[in-house]
This record gives sequence, C-alpha cells and structure tokens, in this order.
Amino acid sequence: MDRILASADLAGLAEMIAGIIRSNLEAHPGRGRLIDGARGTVTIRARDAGATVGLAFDGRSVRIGNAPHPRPQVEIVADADDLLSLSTVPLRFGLPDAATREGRMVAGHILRRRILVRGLLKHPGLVRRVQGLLSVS
Amino acid sequence: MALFPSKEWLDAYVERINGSQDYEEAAATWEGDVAYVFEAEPDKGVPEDVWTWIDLWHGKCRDSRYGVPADEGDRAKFVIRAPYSRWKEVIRKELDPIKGMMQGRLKLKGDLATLVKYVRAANELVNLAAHVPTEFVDES
Repeated sequence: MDRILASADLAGLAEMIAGIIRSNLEAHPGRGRLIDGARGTVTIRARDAGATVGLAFDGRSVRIGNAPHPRPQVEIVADADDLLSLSTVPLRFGLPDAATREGRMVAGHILRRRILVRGLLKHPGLVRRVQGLLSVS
Repeated sequence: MALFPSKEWLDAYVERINGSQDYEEAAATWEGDVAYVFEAEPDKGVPEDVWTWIDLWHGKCRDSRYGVPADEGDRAKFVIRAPYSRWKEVIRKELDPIKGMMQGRLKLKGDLATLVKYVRAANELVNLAAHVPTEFVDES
C-alpha cells in the first residue's frame, strides 16, 4: 500500500514536501516506520512565500494536500530558508542535534520563535516523525 | 552583454560557474546534469520553449548545450522550468528560486531531497546567473 497519498492538484510547497518524503522513503525504506502508527494533522507554512501544505497521518499513510488544516495538532511556520534548514539539520533522537552548529542554530530559531513549532510540547512524537520524514541530512 | 536567452548567454554563465570558488565549494560532491526550460512567451520574443542543459560535476560545469531537444533535456537529473519572464525575475534577483518553487512559480522535476541537500550550491548558481551582463530579448 502506498504510504503517501497526494492530492492530484499538488503545487508549490505541498509538491516539494511530497517530493522530499517520497525521495526519503525510496532512499531509506526504514523511514516508513515514521508513518506507521502516526496519527494527527500537521500544517506547514512558508511565511515569506505565502505557501502552505497540510499533512494528515492516519496510522498507515500520510495524506498531503495544498490546503492547511484548520486546527492542526502541529503547525510549523517559518520563512522559506528556515524551513529548508529544518530539512538539512543533523538530527539526534529525531530532533535537531544540539551538538552540531546547525542544530544549535535551528534550536535557537525555535526558541526565539523565528521558527514557530506549535504543538511541540503536546505532540513531540508527531513533530519528531515529521522532522524525520523531511530530513535529508 | 549577452542576450538572454541565447547560446552566448549560456556560455558566459558556464564561464562564471567554472570561475566560482564559492560554487566549487558548495557543490564539491554534486554529480548530475540540470536542464533549464525557458518557456515560450511569443509576445516577449520567445516563440517556443528553449531547453538548455548543463552537466555539473564536483563544482564544475563539464559541458553545456543550448537548444537541446525536449525529449533529450527531459532526461536530465533535474529539470527546472518556468516562463521566460519568470526566469528574468530570477536572473534579476527579484524572485528567490526556492520561494518561487514553494509558490509553484518555478517547477522542478527531480530528486527533491538531493536538491535541498545542495541548496547552497543552487543559490550560488542563481547568484552567478545574476552576474552575467544580460540584455533581455524583450528589451533589446
């Protein structure tokens, strides 16, 4: 069964996120476990680009669409460059690795809310899964 | 001053790529070709799609071709396409290509994860394009 269910009209950021997740699952099939058992909705917004993507995990697959979820469990808001830095930052236990310069920079952006991660404290597991699916590091 | 789009412009661009230390560092491990498609805008002097192809390898451009057939260009590892006037915005640095892709204004075909990994190199390629003294075909 396909773990990625993408709307036919995917465009822009949503198309990019779907592409990254698809590439990652092809290159690292083990990351499929990040989708298995995951439940919840996630919205990602590129503030300066005015672009959004909505992700909905149902335990077996992730549905990706252009539209943001109105009340997501997790919402990530950042400028385009900072969103990309979330993909390239080295991870440790599924979160930015503070032992690296890039990890400290991203953690600093999150603390200063330059990268806004709503739902991080309430849904850390879902945040870790999304981070792992988007990571290219 | 090179006319955009043209082979002269592509040659000047490639010369800048091969002279850039910043690009060489950022793309030191990059292996793969890229096709740029300047989509037709007949009212602006671009009557049909123009496919250009550059073979990028470890921080250098090994080869380039202007006006490649679409079926050949489409076999490149990455294909980036947009209407001519949008490329003009990119070259003038009025449109950030990453933002443009997120907005769906530039279309990318290829392995996204790889491109994101080399985003610094991609940005440098855009910077270098902006440094080519350019005359745009609809302004000539």
